[in-house]
Amino acid sequence: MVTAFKIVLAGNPNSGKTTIFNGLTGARQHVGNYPGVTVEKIVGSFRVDDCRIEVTDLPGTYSLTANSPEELIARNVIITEKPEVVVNIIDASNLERNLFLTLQFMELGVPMVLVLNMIDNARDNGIEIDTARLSRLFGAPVVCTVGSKGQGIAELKKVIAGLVQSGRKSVPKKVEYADELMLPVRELSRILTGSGEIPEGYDAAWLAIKLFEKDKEIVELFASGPGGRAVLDQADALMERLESEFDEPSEILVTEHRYGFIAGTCREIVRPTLRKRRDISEAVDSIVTHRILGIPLFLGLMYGVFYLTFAVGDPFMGWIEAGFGGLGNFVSSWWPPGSENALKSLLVDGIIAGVGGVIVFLPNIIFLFLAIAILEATGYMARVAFIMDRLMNKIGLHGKSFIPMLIGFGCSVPAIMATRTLSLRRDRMTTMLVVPLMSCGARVPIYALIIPAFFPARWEAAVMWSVYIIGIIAAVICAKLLRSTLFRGENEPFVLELPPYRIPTVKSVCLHMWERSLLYLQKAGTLILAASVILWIMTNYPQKKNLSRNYAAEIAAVEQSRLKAEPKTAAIKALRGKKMAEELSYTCAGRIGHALEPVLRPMGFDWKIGTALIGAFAAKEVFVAQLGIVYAVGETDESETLRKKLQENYTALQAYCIMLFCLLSAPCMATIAVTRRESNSWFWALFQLAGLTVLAYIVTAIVYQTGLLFSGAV
Amino acid sequence: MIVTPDSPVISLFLAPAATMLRVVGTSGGCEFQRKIAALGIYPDEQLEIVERHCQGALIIRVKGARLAIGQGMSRKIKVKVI
Repeated sequence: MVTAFKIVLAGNPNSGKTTIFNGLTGARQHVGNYPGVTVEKIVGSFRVDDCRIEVTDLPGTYSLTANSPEELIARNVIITEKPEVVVNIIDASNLERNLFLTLQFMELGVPMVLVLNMIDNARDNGIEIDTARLSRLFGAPVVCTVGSKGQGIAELKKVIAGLVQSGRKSVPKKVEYADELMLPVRELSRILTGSGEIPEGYDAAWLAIKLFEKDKEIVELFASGPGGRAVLDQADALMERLESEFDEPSEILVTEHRYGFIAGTCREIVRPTLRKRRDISEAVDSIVTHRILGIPLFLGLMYGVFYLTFAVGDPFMGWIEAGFGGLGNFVSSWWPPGSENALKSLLVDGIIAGVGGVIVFLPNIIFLFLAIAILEATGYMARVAFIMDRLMNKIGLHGKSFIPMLIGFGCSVPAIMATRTLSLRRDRMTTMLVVPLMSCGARVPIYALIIPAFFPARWEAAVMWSVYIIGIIAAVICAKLLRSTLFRGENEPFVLELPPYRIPTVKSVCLHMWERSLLYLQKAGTLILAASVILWIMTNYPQKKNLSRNYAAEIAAVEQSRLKAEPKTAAIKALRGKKMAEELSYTCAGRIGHALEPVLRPMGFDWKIGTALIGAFAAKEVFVAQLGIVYAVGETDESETLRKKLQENYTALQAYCIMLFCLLSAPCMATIAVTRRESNSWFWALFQLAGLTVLAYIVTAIVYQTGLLFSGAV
Repeated sequence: MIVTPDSPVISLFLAPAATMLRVVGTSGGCEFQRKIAALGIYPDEQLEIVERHCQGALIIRVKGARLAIGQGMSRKIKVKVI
């Protein structure tokens, strides 16, 4: 019989939990080298013999006190779900700091396995750890691992399986701090036990420590009980006595005792084998976080990333484009000339043009995410948060807001979820509301379509860069506005651990890139396919049976005429264009587009763009798909690419305005939905939607009108 | 190591780099103090400024790790030169 057990992985940020999680479960969770990659708890499982072991990867935390939402998540999972074992992942090269959390698991009295991860780093740094003694001191088995190389994972599985199967709960030793702290703790826990106010599943001594730490959640837990006030009063009295005796706040006293205990432990178990070698990370940091060079270096790197996206992606795009063109021709050939019907149009103009138009940009997506994955995995992003803190502060945001914003370059949805690392609501709400201004991956196809069509090759990277920078500037201004109106108040001070630089493993970078590409293809195959079909119907129906002119006859007349070849084709083209415009205007999409046109005109958009913008609200890639459909429908000349058609129909100014509007308007429905969930209010979700739309409208209109003035003056 | 008992208490913001410093106290709310204490910044602990940035933003070394600290925060930490 298969029995299931629950375990959790817990540890400091950057201790390599997610790598161990992937090693244990064979999952492919994204691993990054900066704090806060895992914001939600992630579940997976593995099997040893007859045991199915369910693993939950908790967000990284420094402590189990209610300092931030992640710490609360981690604590509540352990207290309420009562896992069989807590697997505490410890960065062996940073033992003192990591044991701080370990001690708090001991205080809780949960069965533990200690995993000394990145043990190779520790040895390289000249640290030898006496694991047998560590195991005895903490009353828990110890396993050494190198997560990135998969070393020690098999042993860890065995140890976990042995623990859960034995049924014998290996409860670690109770921590005994110095008497000056433990005596009041014991006294308070006696009071708590006597009062009968202890909620189900809590340990009296642990609660006593938490009360001394002035943990808000725990205080509230008691305050809500009938006799809770009396208990809290007694706790306060004890606390006051303690504080006056040591002339220090009790929460600091608890921390000091924990670190004191750890210092003692480390003296016993750590043996330095050699003098610490020169730290490469520090040398790199002295340049990367340089007060003058830091920001230009970051901007330069981002420029390089975009250059790579275009330069390397271009030939691949050509192949894919040619492939879809061939496919379209092949499918068209099923219908002999003259027998074309609606099905052919749906397949060729709707599905192949729509979905193909989106898939063409897969190479751009792959290279963009490859570059971002590498930057993330090395640990550079944590430095970026620091060098940006000063700027972020100026706009009233926290340096840590920069991390969600960076994730926002990929996708707004996880970015909004990542705002959980911000503990102040005003910081968090402001970040959440402005994150969609960071240009997300779904907008890349729009840029990739438009930029090469309207701008010379040597300007491509610069134009793309300018779009991203405008997004950042808009976010900065909006954040400043929000912080000085709706979310006033002081900033939370910035503090962030700088993880040592790590060379990312090829496997983890490729995995991340693969995941993103797969996600993109899935979206193309589902959401965008569906949207393409709907939009094709909207751009084809209702069909106008009686056209105002007899185009076929007129075209035939021109063909018969004695005009020279060149003016002849031009005349035919003009007629065809008029016919198409008349047909399209009659359809559903055409009517909506026309209705919107007066509103869109100040931004330089025609009704065709209007129809594409409606589709873009479902997902930004649909914009490209819809333009493909609009320009494919009614066209008989299949050889012209979409880019060429755009060049014929729009100016570079209009093209830039399209990008600008797509950049600044709300990215997609999913973003609004996740804002609703994370802010827990429809008001803020709709506020975000309305705000972004208005912003996009005003900015684009101003740019277009100013541009017109200048181009008129030249 | 000689500890001069009368070396003045200064905020980390003004402290010299590449010198061992001793934390004397932190100001700010209870939650803030608890949070940075968990990171290793609490009275009597030693730390060192690794790098100094504009307007009091710093990188410090404490308990074997490097922490990046924003400008507002370096004013709230009081230290003494050891």
